Amino acid sequence: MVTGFFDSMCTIGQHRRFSRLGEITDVNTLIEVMDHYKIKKALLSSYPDGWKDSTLSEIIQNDRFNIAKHVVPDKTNDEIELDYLKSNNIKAVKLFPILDKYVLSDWVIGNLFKKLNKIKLLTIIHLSVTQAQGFTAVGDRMVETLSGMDNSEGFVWDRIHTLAEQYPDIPFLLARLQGDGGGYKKMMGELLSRHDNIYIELSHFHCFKAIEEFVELYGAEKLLFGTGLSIQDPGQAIAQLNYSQISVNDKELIGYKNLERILDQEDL
Amino acid sequence: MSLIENVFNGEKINSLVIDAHGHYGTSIIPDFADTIKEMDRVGIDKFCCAPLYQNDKGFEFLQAYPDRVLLYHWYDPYYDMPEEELSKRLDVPGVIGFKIHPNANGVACNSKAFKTVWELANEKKTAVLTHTWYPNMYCDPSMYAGIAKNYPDAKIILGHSGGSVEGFLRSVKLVNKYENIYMELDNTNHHYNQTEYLAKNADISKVLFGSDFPTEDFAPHLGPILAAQVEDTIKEKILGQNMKDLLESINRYR
Repeated sequence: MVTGFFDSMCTIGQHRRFSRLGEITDVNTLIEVMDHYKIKKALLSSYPDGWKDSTLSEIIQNDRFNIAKHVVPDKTNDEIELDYLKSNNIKAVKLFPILDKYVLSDWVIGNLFKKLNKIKLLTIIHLSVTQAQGFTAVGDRMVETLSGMDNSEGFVWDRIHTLAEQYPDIPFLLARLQGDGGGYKKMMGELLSRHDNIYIELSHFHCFKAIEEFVELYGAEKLLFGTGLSIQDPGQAIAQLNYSQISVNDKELIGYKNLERILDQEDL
Repeated sequence: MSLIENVFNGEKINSLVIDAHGHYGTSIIPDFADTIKEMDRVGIDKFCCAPLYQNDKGFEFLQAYPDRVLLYHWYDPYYDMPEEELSKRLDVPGVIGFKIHPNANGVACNSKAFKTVWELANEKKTAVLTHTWYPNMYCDPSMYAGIAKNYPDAKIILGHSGGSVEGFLRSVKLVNKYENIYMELDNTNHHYNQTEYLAKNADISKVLFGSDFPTEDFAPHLGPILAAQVEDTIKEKILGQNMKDLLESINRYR
C-alpha cells in the first residue's frame, strides 16, 4: 500500500473555530504528525492567518515542505514573480474567491492568471466558504456549499470551465469537493472530462466508492492526495485511499506521484 | 499486528468492529449481499442498519443476515405504525431500537411527535439513534439532556455527535454527565486530534464508530480511529466493544 504520501491540502497555524480539539502551530509538531501518518511531503499553507516570520523561515528551508501561498487578485500580484517564488519555496497559489469576495472573471483575475499561466503554477481554488465541514450557518442547514447557499453556484462551475480553457497551462486543483461534487456530480464530471488541467483532491472524498468511480471515469492521474491537516484528521484520506479497490500503481499516482509530476512541470 | 498497520496496509481490521450507524438505501446498494461484501472487505463484523424509511426492507435484510445485521426501526412521526405494533416490532430478535431524524422531519427531538419513541425505548430498554447537529433547532445535542433524565432506560446515541466542533464538544459533556447518552462519530468531520481528545476528555466507554454507509464509505470513518495516536485498547473500544457492551446491557446483542 502507499506510504510516503505527498499532501496537497495541509495547513499550519491557529484556526480559531477548529482549534478547540487540537492545533498545530509549529513546524516540529507538524513534522512529528506527518511522520506518524507517513506523510513524506506537504504543500503547506497558512490559512487563515499568516505565519510568524520564524515559522515561515523554517518552512522555506525544510525540504519536506513546499508553500501554497494564499493570494488575492491585485493585492499580491507582484509576488508572482520567479525570483520571489523560488526564494520563498512557493510552488502553488491558493485562491478563496468566496471568502475573499471576488468573482472568478477575467476583469478581476486576468492579470494574475496570465502570470500563473506563464509559470504553469499550480492554482488551488477553494470553492467553499470554509475549509472544513464543521462550519454551519445559524439555522439548520450545512454551509459547506460551493458558493454560499444560493443560486449562483451554477456560475462557479461555468467560470472554472472558462478559466481552464483560457489558461491551459495552469494546473487547477479544485479543493474540498466531495466525491459527488457536492451534489454537482455531472458538472464535476464535465470539467474533468473536458480539461486536462483540472484536478481534484481527496480530503473530502467520502462518498461510497468515490475513488473507484473517479479513477474509472477520469483516470487516477487527475486525483491528488490531500488530508485537510491541521484542521482535519489525516486518517480519513489515508484509509479512503488504502482501502480503495484500485491498483497499487493508481494508489501511488494519487498518493504522491501526481503532485510531484505537476510541481516538476512548473517553469520555476 | 497493531491496528494502525491495518490502515497503512489497507487490510481487514483485526478487531471486533460494529458499525453503530449504517443505512440500507436502494439507490446506492440495492443488493443486501453487496453490503455484506463491503463489510467483509474491511472487516466490519456487525452492521446496525437504519433503513431510510424502508422498514420492511430493513426487516428483510435482518432476516437474511441475522448474524451480521442489527436493525433500528426508522421512526416516522407522521406516518408510522400504531404504538402496539411498534412495541411488537421491538420484541423481534435483532431489532435494537429506533432511528429518528428530527431535522429531516422538521420536528424537535423533545416534542410530542417523538414521545412514543422515548416512552417505548424507556419501557422496553432499547437504543435510540438520533441525528444530531449544531446549530440546529431540532436536534442540538443539548436538547437530549432533558430526554436522558426523563427516560433513563433509553440508550440515546447521538448520531454524528452534533456534527460541528461545538456540537461535538456538547456531546462530550453529555456523554460524561449522563449514563444513558452515547456519541457516534460519523460525519463529525473527524477533526485533527479528535480521537486523542476523546481519549483524554470523554468517557471513552460511550464513544461509538459509525459510517453512514452507504451514503459514505466505511474507510474514511475508520481511518481516524485506526491511525490515531492512542492505545489499541481505546481503538478497540470505539470500533466495536462499546457498542457490544451497550447492546448487551439491554439484552439485544447477538
